[in-house]
Amino acid sequence: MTIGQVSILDGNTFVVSDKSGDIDATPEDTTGLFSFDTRYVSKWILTIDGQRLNPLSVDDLQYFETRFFLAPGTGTIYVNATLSVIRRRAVGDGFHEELMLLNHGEDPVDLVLRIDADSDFADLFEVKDNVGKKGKYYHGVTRDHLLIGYERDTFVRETMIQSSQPAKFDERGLTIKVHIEPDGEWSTDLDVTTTLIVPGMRRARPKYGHAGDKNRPMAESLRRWIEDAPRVDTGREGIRSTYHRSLVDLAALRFSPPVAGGMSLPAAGLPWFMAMFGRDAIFTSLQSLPFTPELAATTLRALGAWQGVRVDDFREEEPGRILHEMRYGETAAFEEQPHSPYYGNADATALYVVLLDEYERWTGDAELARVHEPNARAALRWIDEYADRQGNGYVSYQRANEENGLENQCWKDSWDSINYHDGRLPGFPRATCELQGYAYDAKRRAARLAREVWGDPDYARSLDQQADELRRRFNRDFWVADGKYFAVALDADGTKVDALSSNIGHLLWSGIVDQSKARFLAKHLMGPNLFSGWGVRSLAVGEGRYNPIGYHNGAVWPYDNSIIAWGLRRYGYKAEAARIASGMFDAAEFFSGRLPEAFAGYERSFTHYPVEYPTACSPQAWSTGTPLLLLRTMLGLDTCGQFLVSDPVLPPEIDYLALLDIPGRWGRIDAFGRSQSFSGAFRRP
Amino acid sequence: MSRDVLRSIEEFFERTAASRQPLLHGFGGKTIRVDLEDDGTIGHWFMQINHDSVQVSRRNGRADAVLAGDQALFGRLVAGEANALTAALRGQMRLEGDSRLLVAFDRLMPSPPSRRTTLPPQAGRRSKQAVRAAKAAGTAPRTARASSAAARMTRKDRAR
Repeated sequence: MTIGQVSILDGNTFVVSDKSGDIDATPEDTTGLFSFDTRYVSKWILTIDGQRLNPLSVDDLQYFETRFFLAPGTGTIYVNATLSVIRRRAVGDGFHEELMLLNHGEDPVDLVLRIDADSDFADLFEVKDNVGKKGKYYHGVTRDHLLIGYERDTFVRETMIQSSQPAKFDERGLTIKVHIEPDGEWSTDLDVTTTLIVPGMRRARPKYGHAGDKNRPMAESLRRWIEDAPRVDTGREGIRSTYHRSLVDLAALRFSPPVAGGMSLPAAGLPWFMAMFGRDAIFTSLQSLPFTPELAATTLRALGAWQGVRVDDFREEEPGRILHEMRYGETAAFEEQPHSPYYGNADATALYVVLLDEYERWTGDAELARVHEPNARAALRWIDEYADRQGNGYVSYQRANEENGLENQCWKDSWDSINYHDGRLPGFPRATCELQGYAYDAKRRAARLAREVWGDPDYARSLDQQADELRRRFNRDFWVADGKYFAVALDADGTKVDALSSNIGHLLWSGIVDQSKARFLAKHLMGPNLFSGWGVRSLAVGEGRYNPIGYHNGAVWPYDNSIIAWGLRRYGYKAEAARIASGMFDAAEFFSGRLPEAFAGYERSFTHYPVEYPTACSPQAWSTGTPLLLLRTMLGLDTCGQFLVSDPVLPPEIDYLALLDIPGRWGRIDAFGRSQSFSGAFRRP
Repeated sequence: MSRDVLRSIEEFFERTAASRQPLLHGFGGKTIRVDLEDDGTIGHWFMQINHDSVQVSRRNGRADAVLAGDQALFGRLVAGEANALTAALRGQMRLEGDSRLLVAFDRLMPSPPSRRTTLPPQAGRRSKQAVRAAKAAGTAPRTARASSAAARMTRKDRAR
């Protein structure tokens, strides 16, 4: 987001405005009211007697609610205003704006209040790529509303604007004549509602109540969300505030896709990714499992319901495949983009099985794991039958949709993210290393589920055998012997793509790495070429394509680091994991507790503060989940049968750390860790 | 032509009722009515989703979700030539009731015609054992022999 913009959001509906609350979108910027990937309001400008207002301050009340304090007078000239204006705006199925005018003068005033409004109904992808519209606009003006519509064949989207005070509506907005007595006040409630995406479904109603009962359901839901999550206690204030910020942002990113039946899963991030993404939803659910396990449950249900059943090259759907991205905008509707849904990823299917197992181990919800057994089996079949595109027993990818499918179908999905040491790009199919780790982990975990939940020991044995065999081959075929690390991928000929990358950390997390090789990986991950001082770079210094502000070729990704830290712990490198956690919490403090999607890979001692990646999304779900997983990692939390076990190792800067009321199959339990130097007493608050 | 469309729709519902639907468990107990509109007449199909199967009848009863649209559109849907979700997003198909059931309905639709006989990309190169195992599990598409050729052809078709 550009500096000077204010955004409030609720699931996949969000409003971005300037500091005075006005929206004046140009075709390519992201101000406006967006819902279901469509911009329903592109202009919303308040004037009083023809003048725009000056922002005095902005008060972010909640993630879904903001208050703007304004006064007349523009530019740099200070006007001793006797009028103040307060706009209080809440988002949720459209937005609601309470407009309040206060007359501080000694005389009554008569004013003309005007809202200029318009809707361009741009698809988010049109905003991103700046392309024009194909349909027609229309307006409907009555005594009590302005309706702005857009149609293209049978595709219809509408925005409705209403006011609680009598107003004169026209095609370009509304005008209200206002009279205010001395020391008096005046207010109106403006409602902006959007039509729902599928005709026949009911019209959206604002979630917030009106007059005196504002935003109660959303405020109540946020209060419960925070209350249900474990509490953090630590001597380091930054951790507490970062944790709180993460919980609030996760709440904001919750979103109920039509398939979820009112339950929520995490959308990927503001502004481009307020949608259901398989990979992002799964990683965020894994990160937040010990804190808010309901996200994982919904993610498993929703992604299971959408699991691929047929072969469709346009959407890259295949039987058993877990979706990549779901969109509802005009370009998806007219199949100009394949997101209905698009399945082009090579990792979410294995990760789905990983999440199913981790969810059951953590929560004890065996019923959900039993019900989703067919989904897990279909996912595992996809890995064996469809994902092996090189015919060598490894998961690889090559897009079937050559027009607008993704070239790189792994988490590093930019075009040049997978490269050789000398900077060349490999051909397709590409078998990236972490995909093999995920497939290995999926088989291991499914074997456990087959043994303990599904009651199929034969299947369990067969999966374990496959996993053993995969592990043997992988440790032989991907190992770069002279560098002592795993190649980032095998190319179409089976040649190693020999760049040193952060992907090796995901291998530790998946458990596919032979114990004897793990220490070399840990050394690389914490060495000067990968570790920046804040965290592990996506690509090591010294690689051909390394660039500190390369999206996947050098930038530091908080989410990546949380998985790497988890992997280091898995292989016993506790202090190393704690060091990453410490670097990330330090970085978070520079972003008011909100870790961005990525920041630059500059050496920490060089910049002293983490430089945000230029077009990073924020908040981004899996960056938001990062502090949560790092807390789990520092405390060494894991399950063992019915029990929660804890094996804390804190970085030197954190004297003590407690996580209270951790939900799980044990009910609620506390975990506590202290540094070796900490001698204070700990009391449960 | 209209009679062909009707027959293909009928065959689709027969196929649906006759096959196992293991991935529809999330929609168990729900009902969908499909209203086919054709020159002022409306034909009904009624689906009762069970744990892993679907019961089909011609009942015009109350359902958790009603999908309504032109008979020709449904003809294209059941042939894999149109997509239920984008048809709904475009407003060609109307949905009343529980919107999740649109997903269930979409999951029942077949592959697009060009991919009907294609196989997993490497099925031809994989060991016979793996193919046998897949077949035993009931997942391997039918024409194992033609696999690589078919995959190559469709790729060329796409390049066009």
